[in-house]
Amino acid sequence: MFRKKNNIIITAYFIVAGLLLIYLINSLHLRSDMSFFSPNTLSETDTLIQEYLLESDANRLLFLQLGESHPNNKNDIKKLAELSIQLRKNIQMNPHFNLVENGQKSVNTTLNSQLYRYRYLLSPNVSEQLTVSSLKKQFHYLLERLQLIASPDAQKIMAESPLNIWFSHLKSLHNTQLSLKEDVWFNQNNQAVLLIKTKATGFSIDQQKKNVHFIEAQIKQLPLTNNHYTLSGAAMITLANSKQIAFQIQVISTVASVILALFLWTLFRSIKLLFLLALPLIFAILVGMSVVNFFYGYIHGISLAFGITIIGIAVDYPIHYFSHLINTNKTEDFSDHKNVMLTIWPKLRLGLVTTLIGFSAITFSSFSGLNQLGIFAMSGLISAALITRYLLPMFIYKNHLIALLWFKKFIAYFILFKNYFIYRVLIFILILIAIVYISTHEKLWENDLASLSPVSNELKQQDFKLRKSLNLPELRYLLLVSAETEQGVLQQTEAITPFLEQFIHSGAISFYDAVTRYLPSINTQMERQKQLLDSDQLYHNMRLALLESPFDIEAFRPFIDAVADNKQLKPLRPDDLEASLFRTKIKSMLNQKKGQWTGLIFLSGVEASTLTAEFYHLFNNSQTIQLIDIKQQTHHLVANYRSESVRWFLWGSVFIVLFLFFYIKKITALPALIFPFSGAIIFTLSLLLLFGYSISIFHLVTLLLVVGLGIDYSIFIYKSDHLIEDAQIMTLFSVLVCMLSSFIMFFSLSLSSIPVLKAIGLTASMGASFAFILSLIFSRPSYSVHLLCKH
Amino acid sequence: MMKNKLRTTVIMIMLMMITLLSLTVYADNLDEMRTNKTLESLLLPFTQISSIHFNYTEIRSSFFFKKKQISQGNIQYIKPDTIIKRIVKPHYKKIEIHKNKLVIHSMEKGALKVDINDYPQLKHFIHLIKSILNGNAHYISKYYEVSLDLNSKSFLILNLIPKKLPNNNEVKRIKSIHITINYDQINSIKILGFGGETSTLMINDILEKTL
Repeated sequence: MFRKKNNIIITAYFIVAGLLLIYLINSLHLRSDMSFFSPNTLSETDTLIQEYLLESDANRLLFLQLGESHPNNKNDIKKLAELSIQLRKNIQMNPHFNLVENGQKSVNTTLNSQLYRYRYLLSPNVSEQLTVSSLKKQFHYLLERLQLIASPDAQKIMAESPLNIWFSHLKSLHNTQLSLKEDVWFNQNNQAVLLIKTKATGFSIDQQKKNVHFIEAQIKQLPLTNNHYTLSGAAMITLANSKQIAFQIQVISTVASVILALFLWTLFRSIKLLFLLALPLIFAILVGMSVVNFFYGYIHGISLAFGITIIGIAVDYPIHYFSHLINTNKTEDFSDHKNVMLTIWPKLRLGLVTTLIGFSAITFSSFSGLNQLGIFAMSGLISAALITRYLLPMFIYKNHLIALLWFKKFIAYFILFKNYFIYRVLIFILILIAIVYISTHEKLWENDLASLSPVSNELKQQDFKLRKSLNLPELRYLLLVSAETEQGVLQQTEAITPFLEQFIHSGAISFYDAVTRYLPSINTQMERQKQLLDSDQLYHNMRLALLESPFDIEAFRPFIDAVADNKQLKPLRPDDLEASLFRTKIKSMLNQKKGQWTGLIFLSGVEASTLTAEFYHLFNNSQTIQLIDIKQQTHHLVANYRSESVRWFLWGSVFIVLFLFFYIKKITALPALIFPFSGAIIFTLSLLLLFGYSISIFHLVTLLLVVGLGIDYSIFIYKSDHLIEDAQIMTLFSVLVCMLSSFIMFFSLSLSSIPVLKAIGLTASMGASFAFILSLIFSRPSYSVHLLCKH
Repeated sequence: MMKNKLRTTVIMIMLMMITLLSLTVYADNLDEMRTNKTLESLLLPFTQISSIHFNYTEIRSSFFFKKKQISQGNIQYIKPDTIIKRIVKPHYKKIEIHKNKLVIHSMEKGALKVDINDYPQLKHFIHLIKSILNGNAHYISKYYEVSLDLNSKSFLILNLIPKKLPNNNEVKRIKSIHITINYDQINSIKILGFGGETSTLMINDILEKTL
């Protein structure tokens, strides 16, 4: 009867889990950007930077180099050029790529574009080239070009634009350090270079994985000698990151899970138990994700990763329960199961409530990342506790705990600590020393998230070099120009252009990409219009210039007409641009927020110290021009996030102390409950610093788990003196199993070569060990050794 | 019974199609082989020449020009990779090509060195001239449709039309090339462009020839 009722309830629980899973599959929206570290109210600059990092072209670019990469290689230029052209064609067919460039000119797009019509307003210094002497010089150059027979398209362009003004302007826009051989780009190492822009951003890991696979498949189809090629770009760095992390997590968690399973099987001799132990954690993750996604509409990837880390404590709940089943394993009576649960439930509940109070503090933070983390952890832990309380006792489970006697001696050895007052004094002194050490440490905090990235410097350097050689923006430096109007931004940008050129001359930058290079302000266009010669004047100048030349002036009538057309055209504004990649680019470089317009100027080949010195020398007091170092800005964001975390961390600790005081109502009992988790944090922090690590956000969040574990251990050990002897042993045993389980999982993670995983692993494994030892040492003295030694 | 008959008919038709297809392919190859062979025998006398120096007159016509442009000078070819073109009229200019390096000497600008790889049209043309003088029939037939006109007993015209290949940019600008050959001497090279332009290079007299 009971069994039937239980089966129905168990089925109901699994249906709920299934529904949550379906909800997540259909509605989960994972976000992986820096907004995790951002306060809910973000400054305009920070918002712009975030948009830039997430949406800009800079992170959508992939660079492909075909051929061997040695400087003295013997790549067949002609063959590589043919492969480059073929590859460009193949990749262009895929709708997931916006642009594939290999240096080949696209005459048709130039002729048909709206911009070509406006060429004499968009190109600089046109009027200077319409003087008789300049025209003479340029037509002489054209005569040289006509030594070879030109195609009809080329002839049309020569007639319309004999001065080459537009093409030299276009060339300056796409100025690269690469050389054109056989019509395509080659670098100094004679490798063919292709620039590929993806539709997806560099952070869309799944789509970028597909994009890269597609490109690699296309390359494999080419007859490329030894298949020599390199692919780099922001997406490749992201993929390398995720690939390495995913691989190590897979390997480490598999090995650690096997060790943990063997450990638990050695103690409990039950496969079923392993499944039951995982149930609360699985429910906790499902509920945590669902709740956050439901309230926010999305979940940060980092919230999810951190959240799963800090609810690792959910595994402790079932371990406590199953360890205590030792006294009731003679029958399959469910009432025994429930009795055991009722015995340990007050402790579980106290641990849960205390942990929740600690975590609730971070939900008050003004950082959405911290809010999500708090909500994830709280909802997850509540569901894990409830599953342990109500679902697990419904499963038939016979405890085969045979290692208990062996453990009794082991535990007794640990208990020896607790009777010596001297140990507590010693620990107290050590805590004080550790606090002094931490507070005086020179490099306490690590704000540079990049230093925790597993991606090799070689890959980052390769990306930097290619961006420099193609004069493409880096993901680090940019200038912000602000004004009240869109035209104001364009005018301001034009005003600082001479200084930007100066930066190039001094080597501070190798290139800059400003919106006015593509679309000048209306004022500039009108000024250029004024300076353009009218048809009669131009005809007159041309007649004089071509007097001694073989050219027939009438062949260049389209040029005279085009200049006349430009003289009366209405200047082009960003909103007038036809839908094209060009318009998208212009629009992405101009932003409007709250009546304020901002223009972005991208910089490449930056020599940081020279640029900073020159910029602040020229624009120190400027309110409208800012030099943004995205890395510094990110550090700033992370530092703010960390300060906020530490503040709410401390508030959480205060809440925990107050709650425990009001709950126990004895001030003398507090050290036994507070010292384990606070001491564990302090010792872990000082040991991390002693090992040469600076404290990153990853260490800090993992310390939240240590708080949870510390509270759990101390409450169980502290309260155990009220129990009868066997139960005391069982309690200590269960706490030790919990600690060892956490230790096995997290110590394995600390063996990883990936800094983030190492940080989490080291912090949690050290923290769990300290929390356990300190819980033993600071438990109440009435808990006597001889009592245990009798066993 | 009916089924078997139908099957046999289908198999027979398929066999016939395969045979016809292989014959077509063979005929194509045969055609190419024959062209190569004819071209090789036509170019054979040129392969005997190790260097040659001759005067020329070049006539260019284009809708950009008021009248036909005439230039004169001399060209020197030293096997296998050196071509020197001296334009004497209307303005002096010397163009030296050695392997992939091109040097232009002019009165106004002095010497200007360029890599031929950066000028694919020029490179293609130089390759064609070298292929004729080196007897490289394979290169010519790879990029051009080749045909021969026999005008008289002593002259023949080699007609080249650029093939529509993905890597052959010549197809966009050159309509046809006509080379008049008299045994081991090229008499003229006439190039017709798609835009109506023409260029005719006539060889006036041989100044020096080494076998």
